[in-house]
Amino acid sequence: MGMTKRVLVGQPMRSELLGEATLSKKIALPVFASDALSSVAYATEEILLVLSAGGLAFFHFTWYIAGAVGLLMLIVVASYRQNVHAYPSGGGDYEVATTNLGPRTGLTVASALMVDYTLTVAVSVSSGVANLASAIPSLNAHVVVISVLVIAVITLMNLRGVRESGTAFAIPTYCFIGAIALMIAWGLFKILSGHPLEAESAHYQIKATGTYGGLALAFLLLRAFASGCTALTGVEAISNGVPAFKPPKSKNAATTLALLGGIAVTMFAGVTALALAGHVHAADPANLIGLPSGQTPRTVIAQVARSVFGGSALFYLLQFVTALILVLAANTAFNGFPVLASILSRDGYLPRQLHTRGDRLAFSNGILLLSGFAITLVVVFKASPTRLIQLYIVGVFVSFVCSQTGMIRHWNRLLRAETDKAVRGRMMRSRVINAIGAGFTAAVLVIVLATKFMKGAWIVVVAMPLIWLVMRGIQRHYQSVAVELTPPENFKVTLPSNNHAIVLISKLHLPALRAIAYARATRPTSLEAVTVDLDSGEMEALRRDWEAREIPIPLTVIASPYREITRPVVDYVKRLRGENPNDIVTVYIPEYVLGHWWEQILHNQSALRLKGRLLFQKRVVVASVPYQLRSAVGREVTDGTAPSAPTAPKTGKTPKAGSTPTVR
Amino acid sequence: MRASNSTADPDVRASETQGSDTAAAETVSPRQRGSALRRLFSRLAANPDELQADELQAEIEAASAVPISTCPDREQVCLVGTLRSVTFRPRAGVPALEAELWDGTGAVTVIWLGRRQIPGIDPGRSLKLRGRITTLHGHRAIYNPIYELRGGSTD
Repeated sequence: MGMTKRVLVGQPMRSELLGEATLSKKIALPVFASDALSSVAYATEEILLVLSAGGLAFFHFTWYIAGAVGLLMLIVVASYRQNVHAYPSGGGDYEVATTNLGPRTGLTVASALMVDYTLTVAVSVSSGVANLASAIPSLNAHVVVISVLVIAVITLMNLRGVRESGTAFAIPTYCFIGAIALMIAWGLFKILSGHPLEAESAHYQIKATGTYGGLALAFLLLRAFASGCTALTGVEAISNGVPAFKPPKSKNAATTLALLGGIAVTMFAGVTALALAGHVHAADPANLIGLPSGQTPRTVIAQVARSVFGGSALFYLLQFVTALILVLAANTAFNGFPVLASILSRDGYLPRQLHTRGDRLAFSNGILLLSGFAITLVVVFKASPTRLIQLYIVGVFVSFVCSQTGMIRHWNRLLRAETDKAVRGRMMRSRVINAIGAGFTAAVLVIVLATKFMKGAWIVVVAMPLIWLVMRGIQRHYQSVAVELTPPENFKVTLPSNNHAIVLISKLHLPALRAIAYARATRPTSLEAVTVDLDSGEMEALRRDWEAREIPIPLTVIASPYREITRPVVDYVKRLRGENPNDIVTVYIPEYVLGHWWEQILHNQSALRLKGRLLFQKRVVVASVPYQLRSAVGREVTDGTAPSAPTAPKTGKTPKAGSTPTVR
Repeated sequence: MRASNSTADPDVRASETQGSDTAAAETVSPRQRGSALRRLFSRLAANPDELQADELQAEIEAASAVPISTCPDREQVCLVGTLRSVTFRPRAGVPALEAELWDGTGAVTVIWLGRRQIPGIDPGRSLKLRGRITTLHGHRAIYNPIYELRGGSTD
């Protein structure tokens, strides 16, 4: 086990190696932007798919919708530039909301973000695999398996601790930007030079699933808009990563954010324009008339690329780079989720195990958690980006709204104390920008919820409060435990006055003799060996053996009328403990340690149960006296993390046992 | 009919004694008297010890012995019960055999001085004792009693 782990994950790293590498703008852009930019690969398609419900005639609405999405993008980017300046510590939306709107809202943001990070992985990977399958159609049958494998590989990479190493991100992201730019430029050139583009689906007809007019049309358009808003995910990534920038951190982060907004909007507009120019007809395969049966249509970006580049190597390059950047986008979630989980567990909302870094300096448990959820989603939704996308962006917009509202509060608070006119002016301007951001994102959130609720968004709407409640529950639990464990003021430690020790014996083998010797060495008030009378023959043999070996402590045989071990012993211990609140009982249990877990099954089972029961007894200390069998020698666990540690359960209360010798 | 009849399963025993057990369940926990459902559950979940205690107490009456809990100090008494545990002293020390007799109402430490082992004095054994009962370090104790082995040990 340890060996397998070392091969897969690598040698552990020392804590000093955790340097805070700062990123220049050139590198930071690809590191943080891959998520936001990658949505270009599917945002256009999602708009077209929704509009296809009304047939071909509705495709001319695409422009307005794409325009609205682009505008929204710019607004969100402008708002987040204010966040970056005001909260350079990298806490992100969670911090903004907690500081300004209280921990409850902060927790809402946190649960929304957690849902969304998981969906980012699922959507990006599914979409990336779909693009790969567009280039190599024979893969279409195996998208689920491939997606799961891709997630597994990303997980492994992150467990190894591939931290935001710049170049690994920079090359594919810049390649993607370059390839899309090249495609747009080439496409425009072709159109201008009189070679109209034609996508392979251009001659397909689309069967309208209904007639839309009036309100229904408006609803459909809003739904298309909501789907297009997927292009906005990932914008918040930069606001979480401000500490990673080179100084001046806030300024650089804000500039990068602006660059990101510009590039994303340009790419999105370009791809949409080419898709319209090439008459890409995207729809549910069932409604596409003319599609050869049994064939999955290519993704929109693949069709655009094919209409521009033909079947040339450039087409395959673009598809490959698209798939790559989508995988990288999934990777941003792997950077974001564990950090968020770590902050949350620091604040007591998630189990402590998520707080600390693993031996490769990555937040291993958070990574595994995210990967588990994402794989579940991919499998349940059969790696269909279109179905997964219905769940997406609800969380992102919840966090947008909360964080922008928090920013308005933030400026309000600062304005109350500020008297300098120029500064006040700047703050007011920022407040206006954040207010616009809050207003628009809130409107979009309503639209997204209204249009997608029945399509699957309800799952998120149910999941978020559940996560919220669970996190509250965890926090309450931690708090109540902490209150109970804190020593009250003027608390005095009283030493136990009597320590009655018993050694549990079944027969006089080496472990038992060692346990007796150990117990004698601790010099308890009283000491006796205890055995349960299960078989009179064995008991008689033990008694004779006891006399023959001249063991100098008394041997007590407990009757067990119902042939149990645990209950008679527990009852005996209770009687021995007596009424005196300063008396304690120490129970020594000899245990032999085996080398392999399957041997473990055959031994120590009653000792295990007994320990479990005795732990609930007050003033009773259980001490395990181990005896290492030959198979266990040299098998001690070196890294302390291998779950297969075959030693006896680590429930022995050694801290308390340590105080035993001080009794006398 | 013996309390320690080894072939009887505790659960079977519980269902056998259900009819006469209501009073016992109430003495176990008076605040459970409230609901019939609870009473039923407490009867089903009754500890085998409690059931054994009931049976042992019935035997005290049958043998016209005294319950340990009501024994006056320093008086000659007759007790009936089973040995909950037997302690063998190490060879190095003063020879004595110690055992704990339990009759369902209380426990008494029985000590036979000068003996390391007495045939028949085994854990689970049912005994009838006559001797003078005292209190030693807060525990009831009885030294060198006249004892009578009764049938049906756990073996």
